[in-house]
Amino acid sequence: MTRRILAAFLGLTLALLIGVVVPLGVMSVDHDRDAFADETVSAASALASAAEEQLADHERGVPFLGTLSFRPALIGNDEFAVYDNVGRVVIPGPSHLRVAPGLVAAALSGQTVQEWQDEPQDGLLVLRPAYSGSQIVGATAVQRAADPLNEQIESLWVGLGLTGLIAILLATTLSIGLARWVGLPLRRLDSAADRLGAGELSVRASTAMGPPETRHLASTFNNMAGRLESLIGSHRTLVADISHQLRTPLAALRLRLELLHDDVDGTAAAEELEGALGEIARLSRLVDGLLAVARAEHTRPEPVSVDLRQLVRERVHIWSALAQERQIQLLTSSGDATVAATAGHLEQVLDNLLANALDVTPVEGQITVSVRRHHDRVRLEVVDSGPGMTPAQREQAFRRFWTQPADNPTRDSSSRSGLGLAIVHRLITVDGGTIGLTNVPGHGLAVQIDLHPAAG
Amino acid sequence: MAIGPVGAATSPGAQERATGLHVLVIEDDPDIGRQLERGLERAGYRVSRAVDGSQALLAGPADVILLDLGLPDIDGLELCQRLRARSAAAIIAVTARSEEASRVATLDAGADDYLIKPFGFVELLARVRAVLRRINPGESGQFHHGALTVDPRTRRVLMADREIALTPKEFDLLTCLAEDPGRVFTRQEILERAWGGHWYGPSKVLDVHMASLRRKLGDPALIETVYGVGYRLASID
Repeated sequence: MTRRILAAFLGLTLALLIGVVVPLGVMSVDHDRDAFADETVSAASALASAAEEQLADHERGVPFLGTLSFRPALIGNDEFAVYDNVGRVVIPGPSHLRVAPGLVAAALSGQTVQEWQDEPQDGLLVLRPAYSGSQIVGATAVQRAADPLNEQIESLWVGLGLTGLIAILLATTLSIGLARWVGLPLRRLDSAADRLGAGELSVRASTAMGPPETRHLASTFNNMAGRLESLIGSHRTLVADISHQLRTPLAALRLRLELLHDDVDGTAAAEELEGALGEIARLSRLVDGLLAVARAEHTRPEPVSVDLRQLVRERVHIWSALAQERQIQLLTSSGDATVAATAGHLEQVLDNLLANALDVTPVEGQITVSVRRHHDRVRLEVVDSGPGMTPAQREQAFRRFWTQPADNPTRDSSSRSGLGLAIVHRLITVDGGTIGLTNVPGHGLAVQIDLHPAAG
Repeated sequence: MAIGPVGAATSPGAQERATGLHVLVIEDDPDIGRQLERGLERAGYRVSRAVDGSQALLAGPADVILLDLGLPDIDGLELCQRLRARSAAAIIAVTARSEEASRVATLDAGADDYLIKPFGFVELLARVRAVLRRINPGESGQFHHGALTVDPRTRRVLMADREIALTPKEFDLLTCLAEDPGRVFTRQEILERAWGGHWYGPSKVLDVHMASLRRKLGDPALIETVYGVGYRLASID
């Protein structure tokens, strides 16, 4: 925006300079030249009047004095000459001005001759006829140096140039100032929106600066952020409160059933009670899971540089004993990769994915964890050799409480909360990563996670 | 949760009877308070109860204090600090909050251990025994099972007189199983014992640690997997 405002201001200023100031200068120069010419012409006229008497006498046969007693209206270095009615020089100036005979003839025919000259010096040559009554008795020539005029014109242009420069500087300063005034609050608002989006719900924009529209925008943003914060806050406390509130009656119920279990005789009743205790355990896990989801959903990204190769190696090492027991090959292939992720997230993600993979992989199957560059991201992939998922299942897999219908329900199906992938999804996306599922022919399901490489 | 013979052991009566040690239960929820009193008495403890902080501060001396942190009159952590200042009793805090920060705060306030609701008697009694062992180190409290020796006080494990280096989690798992060799501990029970019952990740982490524990003990048959139920230490015939 700064650039646009600057361009607009400078464009306007330049248009004013070119459209108004330059023509004004040209006009002013023309005017000065005309005035200079007029003055020179009147000097020649005055000279003609002064020489008129001698020229008239000469007509009557009186010889020339050769000089003029006074030289009216002549200044400084003016050169001049007086000619008689046949064009002979009768009064030469101090430096014997030479004038083309044609010009003298033109003056003797009654014309006023004006001629700008470059040689021998820059100046204006004016020839005037000299009259005695209505009769032309001779001519005068005055050559005036144009130096003072040129200096005047030069200083005019310098003055105009300086004015233009000052105008441009002023326009630049003003436009930058304006752009700041408008732009800074907008930039702050932008960064506030950014932080709000990243989960910093308490962030507010400053309404103290900038034009009224921007201030209004900032206060609208603040209203929105406030409402969002209170909504999310109440949602968060609701989930947490419900979960915590459920725990006390669950504890009471559990203790009561355990005591009752101790009192009853007969396997049938005891089995029923054990079933009830099992349901309580399930409820407790659900409450824990809900809290975990709530926590994951409200987690704020604080990405640090994580050595993914190292992390994969550690997690796989931890899980290898279990995989070995189940006769499942746990393979890794990892290039060097550091990614930006919040501390602890990727460990949880790998634990969840490896748990799922072990669940579906049959004996003597294999699970591969790989890390490689993928375009400008780092791809972490876990491939199992289970049955995979149908497209419909893949679409729903990240939803809370979704569980894949198991082929083998005896294995750990009771411990599935349906929250693992939902948590994984959240932990990945909060750090700006993406996660997808595909079936790999000949293997099983591939979970593909694309992460931002660590900066620098 | 459990089937068959497992259930019998989850109830307090099946545990060895404690010898008249005194437990003070500070719990404002009358229902939970009553159940705790009944269960602890069955396990052989003498029990007195307080329903709020002011009653708790007036109560007589006890060996173990079960303190619910959510009392109506005094902040739980503050009460914990005050009880700690005037009594050498072991304090087990009971809370519905499972966040790590609140656990740390609880331990910082002087609690010896904490229980997160909802808990069962097995976990409660195990923790009571554990804190008592810690404050009465005179009793050896060691478990022996064949070539295996587990000393909960020094947290050392010997296998045929050779010391085995275990992670804290593996040690907790082994202690849990070694307390009652031969009995099947359900996955839920073990998770509760070793993770305070509130492990947010996949419960398969339990199997991960068990597998690693087996590997370190060098005798894969020592810990038996009871499929669909849990684990136990193999009986020695």
